[in-house]
Amino acid sequence: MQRPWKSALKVITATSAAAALMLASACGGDDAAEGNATGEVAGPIDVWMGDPIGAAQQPTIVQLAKDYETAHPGTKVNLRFLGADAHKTYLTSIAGGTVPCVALIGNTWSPEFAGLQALEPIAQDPASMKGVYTQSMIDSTVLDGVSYAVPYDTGVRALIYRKDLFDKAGLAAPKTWDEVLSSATKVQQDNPGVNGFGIIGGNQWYWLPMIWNWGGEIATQEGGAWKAKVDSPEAVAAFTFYADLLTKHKLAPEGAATWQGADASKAFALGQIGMMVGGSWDLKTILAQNPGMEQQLATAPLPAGPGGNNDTFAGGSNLAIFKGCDNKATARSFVDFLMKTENLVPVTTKIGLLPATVDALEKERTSGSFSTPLLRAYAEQAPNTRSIPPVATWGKVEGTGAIVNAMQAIMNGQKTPEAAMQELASQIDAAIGQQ
Amino acid sequence: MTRRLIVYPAMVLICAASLFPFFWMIVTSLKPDTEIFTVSPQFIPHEPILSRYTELFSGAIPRQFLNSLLVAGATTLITGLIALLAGYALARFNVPMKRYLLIVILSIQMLPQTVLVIPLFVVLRNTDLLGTYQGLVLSHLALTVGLATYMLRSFFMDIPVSLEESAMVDGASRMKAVRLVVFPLVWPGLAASSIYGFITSWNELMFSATYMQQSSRETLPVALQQFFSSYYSDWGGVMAASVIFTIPVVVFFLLVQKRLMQGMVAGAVKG
Amino acid sequence: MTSTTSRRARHTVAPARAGSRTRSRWDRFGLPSLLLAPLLAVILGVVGYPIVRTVWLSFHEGEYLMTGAFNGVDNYTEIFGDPYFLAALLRTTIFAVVCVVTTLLISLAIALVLDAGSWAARIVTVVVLLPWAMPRVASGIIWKWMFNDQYGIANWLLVSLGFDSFKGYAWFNDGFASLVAITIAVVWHSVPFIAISMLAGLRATRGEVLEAARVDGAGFYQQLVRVRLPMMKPLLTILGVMSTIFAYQSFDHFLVMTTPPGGPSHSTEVLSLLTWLQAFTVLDQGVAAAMAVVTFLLLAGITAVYVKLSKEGT
Repeated sequence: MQRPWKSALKVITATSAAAALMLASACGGDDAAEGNATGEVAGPIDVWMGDPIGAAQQPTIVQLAKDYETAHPGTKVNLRFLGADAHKTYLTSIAGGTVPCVALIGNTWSPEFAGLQALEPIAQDPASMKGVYTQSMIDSTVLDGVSYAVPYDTGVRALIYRKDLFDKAGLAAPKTWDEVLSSATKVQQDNPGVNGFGIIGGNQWYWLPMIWNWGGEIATQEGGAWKAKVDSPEAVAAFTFYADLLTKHKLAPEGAATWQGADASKAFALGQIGMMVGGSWDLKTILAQNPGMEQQLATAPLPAGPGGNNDTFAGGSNLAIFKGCDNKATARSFVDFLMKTENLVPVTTKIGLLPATVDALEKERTSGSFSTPLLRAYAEQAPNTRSIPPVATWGKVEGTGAIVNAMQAIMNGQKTPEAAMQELASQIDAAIGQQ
Repeated sequence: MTRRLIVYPAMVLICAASLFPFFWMIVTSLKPDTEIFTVSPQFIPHEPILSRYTELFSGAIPRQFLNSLLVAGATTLITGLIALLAGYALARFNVPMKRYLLIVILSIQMLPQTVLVIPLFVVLRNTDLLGTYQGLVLSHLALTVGLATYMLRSFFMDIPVSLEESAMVDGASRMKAVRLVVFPLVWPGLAASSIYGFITSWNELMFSATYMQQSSRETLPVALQQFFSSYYSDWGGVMAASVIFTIPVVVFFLLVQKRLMQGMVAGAVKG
Repeated sequence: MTSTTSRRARHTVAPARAGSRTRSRWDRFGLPSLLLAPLLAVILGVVGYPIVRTVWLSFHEGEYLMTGAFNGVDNYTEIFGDPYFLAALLRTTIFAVVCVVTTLLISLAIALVLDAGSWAARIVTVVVLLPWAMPRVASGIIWKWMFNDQYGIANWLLVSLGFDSFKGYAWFNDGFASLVAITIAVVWHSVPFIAISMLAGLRATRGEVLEAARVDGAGFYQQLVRVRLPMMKPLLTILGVMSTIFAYQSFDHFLVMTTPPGGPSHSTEVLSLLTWLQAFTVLDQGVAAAMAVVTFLLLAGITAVYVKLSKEGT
């Protein structure tokens, strides 16, 4: 090579060396300490948290992580907060082998991730967890007789309504869905600018349980195989009733067909909603945005449907340790740390959920944040809960948005309720029917 | 006179359409909720607040900002280098099958990202590069090298060969000729292709959202999308995050817009 | 493109002139190979291999992103029997046509205004290019906010103009209205690049031919249609191809602006989004790969048609 090339080569080597250095130093920050296999509590762990940890709870978690690092020198907790599409993020990371060590996951995802061989077993015999955690939450961690997660928080939905407007109209809290319709209509007529009922078309958990209230089922097990029941007349009637609240009775703004819980809470806080189905966390959101509303609102257990029950879904999240974690000792120690009552309660209180350990739960009910009149309805609702089919492949139903799509197709008149529910039934069968 | 009557109002309209979303984004981010959620819009915030920005800056945003800067910076640098070498070769030499090579280079630009996203995921997984900066930079190169090479080739072709040849006849080696005569003239092209690479990488969502799963390695588009999906009823906060995300590109763009225009004009005219 | 190459052949250096035999060899083969090596490595590694791999994956089972057994054309039969895929194919095509036509027309109008020239044109040119610099995710978010049913500025504007039916109108409740809103957002984002390129093209047409036409008494419109646009044909072809591909690739705007992605009830699903969801939510890489291959072939076909059309003109 001729000499003049050298100077150019120098430039090129220098720039690429600089680039390489940049990359190396940037990665080094995270990778320098590569976990450890010795079982020693040291080194970094990745911790991911999705819904329901929102903006309001993040500082609490960040502080807890710092406390943990102080208490265990040599450890490092790398936190990541996921958005509403956390489910997708977890699946991609499982497929790619880039899982975190510890994750707070939706309770309906636990069997699914366990079925993908992604989670580390927590207890070979779930009966050993009895009495430590609430039973419905233990159930949500189990697949084929093994528990794969630690129950963290739990919550139910109830009715949140504007007591001031109801009192003015001489109405009491509705006990049935028919009363919901009549009182919402009255409140809306009497108060211009107020919508009778906060429809939440974009999130299935607010209205899927209505199938139970109408006496139907989501899916039943027949000889070992799951069969969808959402095309039953009861289920069709339940979905039609909810869609009619929006389309026929116009009790919410048109856009509510795509609303999430947060949209309805926002509108409620702005004084534009007379009544909504909402979790205790939604109540928290409303009061955080408009503290003055505490005097104006009240809560009640959910209304019953023609089926004679007001059952709802037991929501919540579990802490899981991933199999792919290269620092399981630290991961376990961090989970234990988070589950201590004094570390757990501040977080669940901030979210507005109940802690899932029996010990903390009792404290919250008797003397804690759930002893107030406003939250009592949630405690009353708590026994009336059911769970969704505990199948590993349920995640496909949730992940593809099939249930939300069915409701929205009914709401915008794209399909008849019967056709939409038949299609949904075949989609659910395709996802969970094979076992 | 009539021409002016059309041209000036049209310019005002064009500016309004281009700038309004920027304006509205900034204004919304500064308004307290009571002024955001109003039926008739408030164009100027009465009680502007900065708390959304201070909150965001105390969170993960600074780190995500650095991640983006690192990835976009490395992509730009490597793209520039590759394109500079290849652009010169394609402009000055009778490379065998050059015609086909040029078609291939251009058609890279035409590839749907979805064709690459799955196999690259598999490749990065198998090479342990999934979730690393290097892996993401590699995947971004696929999006940038084609057009950058093409742009730089156009620039080299604009520089008369005679300049180089006369230098070489005068006894200078090819490298010296290139360094002294050609490089100074090709700078605008390098700048243009760099900006193109930077903006492409900075804004890229699909690869980043799929490949960058590790805590604290998220780039801004992913963070913004995730932030939006969790807090999208908090429009003020979402707008503030969007502003933080947009400002660096806009500033960078304004700083270099002159060179960029030259580059684009050169690219366009040669087609 | 090809005509460009031959037109510019005179630029090539004749390497033999400058030195010895060995040097000419080095110059002719060694040097260019060395210079091209990094580019070729990237093309083969992160583009070529993935394409081959996608095609290969599309003939295999791919549940949970694990490559399974060869299953012939099953993935293709599956997607072509899937009404949602077919609907997405048609929807993407219509969306792309509308996007391309609107983008090209608006860009041409803007380019003509700027070409008319005045002291303000230089500043306006920079302003026009600004939306290109706004990240797509951010622009999707801001447009979604402007199309908000209750507090959106779009509905407020429409109601103020007398269209009362837009009071509280929910753009994202049905597929058509969502697509209108998304189209506006995508066009806003893609016009700048095309408009500035067209401006450059228009400027290049100034010269003897145009002057002659003007002397002959051709008006503004005649100059444009008879002289300038025909001269810009190669450029217009490239811009057409580019905006078609941008439109077919639209992903960020759809992901951000629709809830759930592709909803309500599948009515805004486009190829890119559907493929990505199939791969990373349903976790079926075989079917997703088949979708990607179909998209690829479609775009290759469209590009070929454009190139052919532009050649016929010259």
